Amino acid sequence: MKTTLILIAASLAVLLPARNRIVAQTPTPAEVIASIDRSATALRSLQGDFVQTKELSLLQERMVSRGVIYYRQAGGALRWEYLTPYRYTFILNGERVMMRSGDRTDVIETAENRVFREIARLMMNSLTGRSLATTSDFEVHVIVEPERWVVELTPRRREMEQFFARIRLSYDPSRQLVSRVELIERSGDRTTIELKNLKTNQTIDEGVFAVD
Amino acid sequence: MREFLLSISLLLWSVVARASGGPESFFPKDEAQRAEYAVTMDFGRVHLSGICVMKRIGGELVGTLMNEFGVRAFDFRYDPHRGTLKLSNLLALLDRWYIRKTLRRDLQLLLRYGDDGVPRTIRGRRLERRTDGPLVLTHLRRDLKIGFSPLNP
Repeated sequence: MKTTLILIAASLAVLLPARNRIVAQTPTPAEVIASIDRSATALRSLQGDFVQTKELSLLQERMVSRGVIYYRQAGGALRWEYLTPYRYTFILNGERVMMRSGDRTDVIETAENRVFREIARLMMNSLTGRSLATTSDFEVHVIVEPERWVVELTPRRREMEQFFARIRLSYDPSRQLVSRVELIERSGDRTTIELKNLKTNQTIDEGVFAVD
Repeated sequence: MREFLLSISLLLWSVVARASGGPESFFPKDEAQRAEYAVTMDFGRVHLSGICVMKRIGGELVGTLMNEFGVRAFDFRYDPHRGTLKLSNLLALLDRWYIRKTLRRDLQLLLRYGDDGVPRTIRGRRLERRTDGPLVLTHLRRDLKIGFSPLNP
């Protein structure tokens, strides 16, 4: 009995400081933003899988698409490729965008199209966490949980309000990478993008971002 | 017996002819059938691209047009019996009377005449199914074009 009590007391003695350590390490919202921003700045490339779920209340449907994402910081390049339920590839490389479905390919210049560019930039920043610390476009609210950090962005500009009522980004604290993006529309419909199997800072073949 | 065989052969012929003849429907024909399209819109130097999801609900064609990341541009509901189309939930940047009017008319024509694959010129617009897949509506007097390409698995 005595031995049992000693063992329990010893376990508590070990656990309590550990718990205190966890409490002490819980970052403040400002620290979370700074940490995400540092990771995003150091992010040279990102690749992985995504699952996109779009709620379409008018069509009484939930549309689930799967695909792969490639991002390269240099030159601002993004490849967003749907693999199921259909094949469709969207590549943004600098000022040019390519869309490919089946044998058909369309290339457009975004220089003349500010809205197009802004949405693409916003998506890239959401997926990578860039510019959260410096953005003036959104009100930023941070929720710190043990398993995830949630950053809620509420548009300040009317131009952005028309696209989203809110954007909710969930981060994996251990890697400081986005694991989930929720785009909530004014109508209440939402698009959820879950990112999986993410690899960072690996060399990506130039051809992945080729716009031709 | 001869009449029976004749009627069977006529029935089989009509089934085979129905299965092999005529172009496949471009838009959803059956109730609850869904289809997805890659959409391009060119207004002069402004280009928009996205994905259109369409479904037949209660005999109507109901659709949503969104960009590649799921940002909705607008919804529509087309009544094939009356030939009328209603737009809703337009992005503010598209919610102008002249854009609404043009979009409504163009989509009405695409949904009404796009199914049979027959090229035609109607109300100052050329409607044709290109050999590489898309159904394209081109304004003859304005620099305006809309294309729908079926997205295949």
